[in-house]
Amino acid sequence: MIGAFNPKIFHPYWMKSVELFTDTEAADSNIEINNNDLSIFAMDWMRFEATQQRLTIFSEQHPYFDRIVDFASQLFRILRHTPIYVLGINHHYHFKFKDEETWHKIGHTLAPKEYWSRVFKNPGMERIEITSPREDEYAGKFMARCDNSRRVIPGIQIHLNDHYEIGEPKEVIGAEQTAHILENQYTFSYKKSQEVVKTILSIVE
Amino acid sequence: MSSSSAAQTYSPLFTDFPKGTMPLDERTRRESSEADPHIKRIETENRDWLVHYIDAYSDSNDADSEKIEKTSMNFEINRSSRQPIINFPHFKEWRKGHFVSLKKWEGIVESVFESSFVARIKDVANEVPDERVEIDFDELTNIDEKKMIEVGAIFSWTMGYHVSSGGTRKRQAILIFRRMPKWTEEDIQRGYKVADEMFAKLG
Repeated sequence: MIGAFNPKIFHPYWMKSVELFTDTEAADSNIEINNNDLSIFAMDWMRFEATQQRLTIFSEQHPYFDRIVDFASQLFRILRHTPIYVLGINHHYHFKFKDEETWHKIGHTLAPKEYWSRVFKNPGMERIEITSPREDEYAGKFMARCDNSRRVIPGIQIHLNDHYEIGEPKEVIGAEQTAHILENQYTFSYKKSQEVVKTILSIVE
Repeated sequence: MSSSSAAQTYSPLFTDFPKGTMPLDERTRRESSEADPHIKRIETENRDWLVHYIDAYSDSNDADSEKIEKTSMNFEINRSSRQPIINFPHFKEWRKGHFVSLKKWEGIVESVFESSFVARIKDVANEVPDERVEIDFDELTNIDEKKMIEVGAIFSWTMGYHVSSGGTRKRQAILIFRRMPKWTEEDIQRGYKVADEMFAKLG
């Protein structure tokens, strides 16, 4: 999220006081820094980072994705006067392939080498990004990316950024629309990311 | 590039990371002391450093760690002056492993007993029909959520395994209650208004 935030308030014990976290979660959180410029804390299932301009919550724990959506939407229902201009719901997937040949098939299909082979001896796809306007009532776009995974080799990483432009800084006065989008669009966003994954993986089926 | 009489460090090959953590990406792994005997790992108070030896020392055991450390510390000062004051920790330094979901259900509580509750659960992937199950409170992932168990409460129940950042797998079932948005007075009034309009239209 991009907006105008007050990092100091984002403290696990404040979150506990407004029932966003349970006692155990607040006690288990590891607070790395909390001051007027920056707030960072982490727990088993999520990491929270906020500066005055940007706020990021991320997790690699699939069972907790719904929890994070609930947490973020409730957080900005409480802090409803926080102006948020941009919201991005990001999904990352890593896939490992059984051999390099299968892995190359993805690159050759998404970025054909017919023209590149005329100028390079052995061209290979490192990363490809596709952008598309939204088809719903929201302003924004989809940005899909496929690149080589650094986590699994040979493998790929697929990333979908479901991007919402909420408004210009001078127009936006609160976070209610952000909370509304999170509550109403997360399931759609998740399904869209699965659709992107299925489409790319269908290349090697 | 920086040099001293004892060792020479090359900025592209020079890697630092917070103390107690290990580099995770493949490139860093290849550059790490575990993979390359010509790289020495130096531990300082706050950070660990990977320092590349010059050729003259690469096969030698008599490299002076103290001098190398001084070199790397000089490097740290030079680097710090070029970097922003706040160094945003990178996600991969925090990684605690990931979770591979095998099956996920969404459930709604139908009745609550002393130490268990009965719920109707729905397979998110729609592969099996809905089921009614009795779940013991001990199954809760966070026991603090016990107070959220009431008729109508919604939860998710995921079976799978947790994979640590080192690769160890552990079977887990995670049961978490949803925090659905509460009805505000404004929402309730809006609901009444819609109902009134429908009533008026229907006569």
